[in-house]
Amino acid sequence: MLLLTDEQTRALDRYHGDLLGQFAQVFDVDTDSQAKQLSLGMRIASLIGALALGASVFFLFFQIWGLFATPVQVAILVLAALGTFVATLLIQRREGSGYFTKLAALVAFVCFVLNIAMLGRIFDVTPSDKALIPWAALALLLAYACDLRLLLVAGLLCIIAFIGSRTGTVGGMYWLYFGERPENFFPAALILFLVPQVIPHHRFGGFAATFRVMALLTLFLPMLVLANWGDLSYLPWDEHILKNTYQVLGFAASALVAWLGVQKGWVHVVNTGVVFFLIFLYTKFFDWWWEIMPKYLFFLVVGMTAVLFLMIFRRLRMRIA
Amino acid sequence: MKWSPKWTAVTGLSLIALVNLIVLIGVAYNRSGEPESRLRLTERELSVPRPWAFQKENSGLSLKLLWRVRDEESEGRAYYFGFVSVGGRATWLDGAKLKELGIEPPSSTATEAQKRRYDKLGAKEVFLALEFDGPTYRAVLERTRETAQRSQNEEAAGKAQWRAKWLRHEESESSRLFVIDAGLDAANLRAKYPDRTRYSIVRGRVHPPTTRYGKGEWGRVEGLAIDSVNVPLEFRPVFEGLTSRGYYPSAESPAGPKFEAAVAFGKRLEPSLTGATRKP
Repeated sequence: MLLLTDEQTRALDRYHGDLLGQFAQVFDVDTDSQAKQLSLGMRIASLIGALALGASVFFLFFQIWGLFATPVQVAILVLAALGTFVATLLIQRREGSGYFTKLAALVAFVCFVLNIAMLGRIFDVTPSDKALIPWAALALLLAYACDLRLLLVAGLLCIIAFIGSRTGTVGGMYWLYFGERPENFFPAALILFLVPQVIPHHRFGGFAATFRVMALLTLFLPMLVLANWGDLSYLPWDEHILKNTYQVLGFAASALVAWLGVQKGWVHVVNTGVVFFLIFLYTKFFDWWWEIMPKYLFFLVVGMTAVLFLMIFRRLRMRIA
Repeated sequence: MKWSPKWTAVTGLSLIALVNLIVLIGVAYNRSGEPESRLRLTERELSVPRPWAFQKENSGLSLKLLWRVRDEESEGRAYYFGFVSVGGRATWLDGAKLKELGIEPPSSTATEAQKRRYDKLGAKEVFLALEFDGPTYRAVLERTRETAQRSQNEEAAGKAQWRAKWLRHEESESSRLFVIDAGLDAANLRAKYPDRTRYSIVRGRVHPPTTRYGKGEWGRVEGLAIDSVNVPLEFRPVFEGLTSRGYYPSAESPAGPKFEAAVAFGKRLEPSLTGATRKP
C-alpha cells in the first residue's frame, strides 16, 4: 500500500490537472460535466447557426438574382459554390473544434444545391433526380473530410431520395412522385443499413450509428404511414388487409431491430427499434380503445405500458453494460 | 486521422466544376441550331405567377405557360370553368391511346385485385403535343358561341349572363394553347404535327383513369415537365407593370400591358424566351 504525503498528493493533482488541460487544448475534449454541458450548447448553437446561415444564403440569392444578366447570374452561382467550398477547407485547417467548420460546410453545401437548382431555373432545364447524385457526393466529401455528421445526414438524405426515385421509375411512375408509394424507400433503408457492415467506419466517430439510424428511419417511417394508410402500397390488396399487414410487420421489425441492437451492442439501434415499437403499439391502443375507454383509463394503460418498458430497458442496459 | 486536404480540395473543386460544365453543355445543346419549334404567345398564354409566400421576395421573373386540355363533356355544362394549367381529363386519351402509351386498361372481366393494381398506376412520363391557336381552340370557341346563343334563347337570365361573359373570355382572354395528343416517341409525334410554328412537342405526364366511381373512360393530362419560362434581364422592361391575371372571366379587360413573346423549344424540348415586344 502506497501512502503519499500531502506534498506528493498536491504534486500528483497538479500533474493530472495539467494533463487534462493539455488534452482539452489539443483534442478539444470535455474534462468535466460543466465543459460537457457547454459543449452540448455549442453543438446546438452550431447546428442552428448552420441551418440559419444556409437559409439566409438561399433567400439572399432569391432576392438578388433577378437584378443581374444571365452570365453574371451563372458566375455568381459557380463562384459561390467554389468559394464557400474552399473557405470550408481553410476554416477546417485553422479550427480544431469543428463548430465553425460545420457552419461553413453547410453553407458550402447549400451554395452547391443552389448552384445547380438555380441553373435549372434560369435555363428552364427539365427537372431530374440525377441532380441528387452530385449533391450527395459533395455532402459526403465534406462529411468525411471534416468529420461532420450533419453533412453525412444531408448526403444520406440525397441518396435516399435518389434510390427512392429510381425505385419508383422502375415501378413505372414519374420520378418526382416516388413519395406516393412509401415502399420505394425500403431498398434505400436496406442499403444504408448494410454500408457500415461492408465499409468499416472506425476512424469516423458516430458515422456508423448515423448510417444505421437513418436506415431505420427510412424503414419505419414509411411502414408507419402504410400501417395507417394501406392504400398507398403498391400491393393490390384490400386496404384493411394492407394496414394490418404493415402493423404486424412494424411490430415484428421494430422488435427484431431492438433484439439485433442488443446482440451487437448498438445502442442507437436498440433505442430506435424500441421507439418505433412504442409508436406502433400506441397507435394500435388508440385504434382499439380511444373511443370505447374512458380517457383516464386509456392514459393509465399508456402510462403502465411505459413503466413496463422502463423495467425492460433497465434490464437491457445492464445486459449491454 | 483525416483524408488528405489536398485530395479533398481537388476532388471537391473538380466535382463542382464538372457538374456545372455538364449542365451548361446541356443548355448549349438545347439552344443550338434551329429550335425544335417556336411559338409566338401573348399575355393570354403567358402569365406572371401569383405573389404567394416567398414569391414576393423573388427578384427573378418566370412566366407561367397557361395551357388547357379540351374536355368536351364538361363544356356542355351550365357553369363551365375551363381549368387552366392544372391538367384535365382528355377525351382523346381513351383506351386505344392509353394502350399506345403502354397503359393497359383492365378488361370488363377484371378481378378486384386487377382493378386495384390498375388504379395504383401513377402518372407516366410521355411526350405531349401542344397546339397554339389551332383547330382545337376554334372548335372550343365555336361551341362556346353556340352555347351562349342557346342560353340567350332558352335558359334563365343568370346562366345566360354567365355564358355571354364566358364567350367574351374565350374570344379575347383565354389561352389558345391546348394539349391535344401524347406519344412515347417525339419524332413520331412531330411527324403527325409538322407545323413547328403552331405545334410544340414537350415532355409531360399523363395519368390513367381510375376504375372507381365509374370514371374509367378517359385518362388525364397531368402536367408539363416545364410549365414556365424564365425572363432574362434584357426582356424584363417588356413585362414591367404586369400583374397576375385571373383565369376566369373578368368584369373588364385584363389588367397589365399586352405583349407578344417568342418561346423557342430546343433540341431537348426545353423552352427559352428568345424575344418579347410590347403591343400598343
